[in-house]
Amino acid sequence: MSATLLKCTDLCVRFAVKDGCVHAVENLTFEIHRGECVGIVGESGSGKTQSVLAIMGLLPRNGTSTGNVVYKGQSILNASRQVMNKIRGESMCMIFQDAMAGLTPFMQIGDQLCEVLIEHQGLNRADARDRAIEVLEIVQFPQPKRRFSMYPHELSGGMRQRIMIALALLCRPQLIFADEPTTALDITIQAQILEFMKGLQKHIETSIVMITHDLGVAANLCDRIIVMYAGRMVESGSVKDIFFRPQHPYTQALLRATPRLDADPDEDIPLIPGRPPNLQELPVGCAFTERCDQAQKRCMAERPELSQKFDDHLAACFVEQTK
Amino acid sequence: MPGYIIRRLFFAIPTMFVIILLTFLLMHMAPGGPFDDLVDIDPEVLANLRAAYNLDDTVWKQFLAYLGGLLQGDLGPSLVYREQTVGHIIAVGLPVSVTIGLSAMTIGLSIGLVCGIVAALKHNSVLDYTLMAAAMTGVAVPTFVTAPLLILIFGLYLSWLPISGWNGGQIQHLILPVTALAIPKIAAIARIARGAMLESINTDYVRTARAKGLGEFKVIVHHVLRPVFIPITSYLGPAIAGVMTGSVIIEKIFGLPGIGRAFVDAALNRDYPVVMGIVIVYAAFIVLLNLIVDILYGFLDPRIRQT
Amino acid sequence: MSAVANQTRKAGAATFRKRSLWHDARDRFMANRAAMISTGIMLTIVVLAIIVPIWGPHPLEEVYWDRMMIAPTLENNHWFGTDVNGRDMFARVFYGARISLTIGVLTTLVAMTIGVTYGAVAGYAGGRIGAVMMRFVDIVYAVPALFLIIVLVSVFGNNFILVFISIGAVEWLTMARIVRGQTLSIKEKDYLEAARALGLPASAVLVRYIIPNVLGPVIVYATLLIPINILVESYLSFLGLGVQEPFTSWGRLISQGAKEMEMAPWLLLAPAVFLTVTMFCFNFIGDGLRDALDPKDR
Repeated sequence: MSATLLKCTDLCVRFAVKDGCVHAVENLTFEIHRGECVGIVGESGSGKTQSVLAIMGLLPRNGTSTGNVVYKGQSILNASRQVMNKIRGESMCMIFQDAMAGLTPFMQIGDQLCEVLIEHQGLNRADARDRAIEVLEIVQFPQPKRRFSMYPHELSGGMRQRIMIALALLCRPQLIFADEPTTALDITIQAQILEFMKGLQKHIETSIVMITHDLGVAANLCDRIIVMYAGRMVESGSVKDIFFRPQHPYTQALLRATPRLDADPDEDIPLIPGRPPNLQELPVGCAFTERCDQAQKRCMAERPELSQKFDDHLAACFVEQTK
Repeated sequence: MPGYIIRRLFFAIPTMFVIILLTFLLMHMAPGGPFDDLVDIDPEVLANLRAAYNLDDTVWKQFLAYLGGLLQGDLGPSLVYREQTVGHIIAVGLPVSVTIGLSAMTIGLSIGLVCGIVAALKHNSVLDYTLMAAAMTGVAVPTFVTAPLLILIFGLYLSWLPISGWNGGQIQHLILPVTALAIPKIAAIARIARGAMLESINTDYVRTARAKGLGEFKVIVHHVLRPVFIPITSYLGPAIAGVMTGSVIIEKIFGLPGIGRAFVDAALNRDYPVVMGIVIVYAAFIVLLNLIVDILYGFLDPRIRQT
Repeated sequence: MSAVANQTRKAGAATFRKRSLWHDARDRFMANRAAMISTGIMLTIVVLAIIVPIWGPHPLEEVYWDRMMIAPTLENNHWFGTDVNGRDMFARVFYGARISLTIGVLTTLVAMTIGVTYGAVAGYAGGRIGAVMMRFVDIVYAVPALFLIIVLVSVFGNNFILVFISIGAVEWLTMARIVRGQTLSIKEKDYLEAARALGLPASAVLVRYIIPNVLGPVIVYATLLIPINILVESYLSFLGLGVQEPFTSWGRLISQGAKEMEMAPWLLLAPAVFLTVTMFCFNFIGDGLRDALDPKDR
């Protein structure tokens, strides 16, 4: 784990809505090193996807982002379309969550793959086709030649997801954001795809940022994990530390809520009570206070900053965990 | 795809049959006959007349006779202009109506699409608001108000263009009627195109296309634009119907010898065979067009071809 | 604030919201400026249409032989001028408003009654009967409405009542489609299943559950249908197939005005402006209602 590939400092994402402003991401700071796999974990609405979209410059019209994002020494947050288009799709790619809605329904999948190669590598149609089929074979897409001119609706969910992954791999990128790439799939295909991504990451030395709400998936794949809650990072550390020495009550609750194979099947999984706060009117103190089983008086009045708990393990909580 | 087209075709034939049957029955229900005006007529002559027009047969026999004639392209005689057949009246009027109708549709489509797309690309800008306010006006002001106003301004005050007549389809004679007919279509198509474009621009797959690093032009042309044509295509049917309706008014105002005017005159004179014939021709036109629209759909959206 | 208190507050808010869907829609509509202004203008026109022919400065049929085709003037209170026969245009425009608006509303009521019944039955019956019923609607759709109406008017005559029955008898098709679509989607809902399981007869289910639920879209479409029908009547009158003397409507006035527009443009402009404003207003009101009642936004 050496050189820094992406450094994101104080990233804030806001959305203008009818009656105010949604604070989707607040002061997010993290680094991605070359060749590592980082998991961003959190409930839906915790800002995982929006922070990545902001980095890629893909926020919807009503969204604005502030802060600083440096990719390979170049500041890219809110950079011009021309600058971003050189990076996007070539060295920085994204695998979207919903492969049905994410593929253009009226365009043959072959064309959707080839246009990336034609755009970034200046290949002609025939070469692009060969290369695309090669990549489809890598992602274990069945019978790529025969299916090359099919439309997305003619494929199964697993096949579409593989297309999405292939799209991201075409130009051998250095950084892949994978936004819940397996949630829409059934469990066996999910396992296959995760296994495949794991192998791939070792193989082509790509950094992967894995966005998921499933700690199991993150544990399986990642070196480091960032836990987000209500738009903020609440904890980050190595996989081992997150699982065995979680410092934030939210992480602890998440871990308890993850189904385990070795647990007593009759026992209920302890759910986290309550709901995440409204991002339009965040509380003054720690956003997790209302659902926290260790909350103190102080938590409501004051927001805990991220602080080093041990080694390079960060957490934003006043409560000192014993052990 | 061919199966899809054949299925659509099978849909069209019974539609036409039912329309013909309905109009026929409706005409048959009409109180009063075509010869009611002839008060002092010899009953024998009247009987001969009725026989000549098959009016004494049962309804079904008359219908079958009419249908048989129709299949051979014979729409029967006009009751008012006794020397003319319905087919003849339609043959004279149709080219006029088709010329102004098609011109208006072409202009409506091209200008409407451009305005709608530009407005969507410049969403929430002054240009967007201006275009949409103009479109709103275009939709709300009825044709029979715009047409006289156009005549008043460009024909009477400015004297730039002739205000009526056909004159063999000379271009100067076409401009005002076609403009009046096209305005509501431009407006409606611009609004639809803008809405569809805004919706399309916000889809996940357009985000994917942007994530691919494609240039904006390619994103728009390859990924955004195509679905815009789907609601436009479904609007084509109603739009054609609207142009046909509008052309009735326009032909009347500008004194054009089209079938719209023939239709109104026939309705006023209770010349039922002409009314029927024209309704059937119009319906056939629309059924045919809907067929084409359905086929276009299949091309635009691969998902439809299977159903 | 404790977690429990917060939970109660949220739950309270949820029930409050549920109870006030119509209030919610009303608030939303009131917040729509274009729709509110349009409603105001329409109410004004309706009030004027009622009072001007009764208490206006000039009686409707009074012919001023010495004041034919004079331009709008404050003199003698001919605010909109006089027509070819020397009749006051101000009175005639609002008398036309009466007929046009009445026809617009009555035809819409006719269309609504037929369309809602037909659509609800087709949707509720479903299966083959529903399919055949909608197939018939598809077929009639192939003929432009105005043509059918002209056929009906020329067959059955064109007095006031027949005109609006003819328009209503043709313009119900879209309404039927909307209602059928709504009915089909509501039919799948669990509470209907429950009602049926409890043994409620089909007619009661239709009246008590389906019709109230399709009301929103029906109201929106009815608002949009009123201007369409006013326009259709105007088309008919313009072509000489609509209401006949002594009645008059905006369409008739425009038709008469168009003949004299070179000499007396006000005869065309006065009714045309009112008709156009009405079209605008109903469109804005319809849009406002759709935004207010659209469940997508809730």
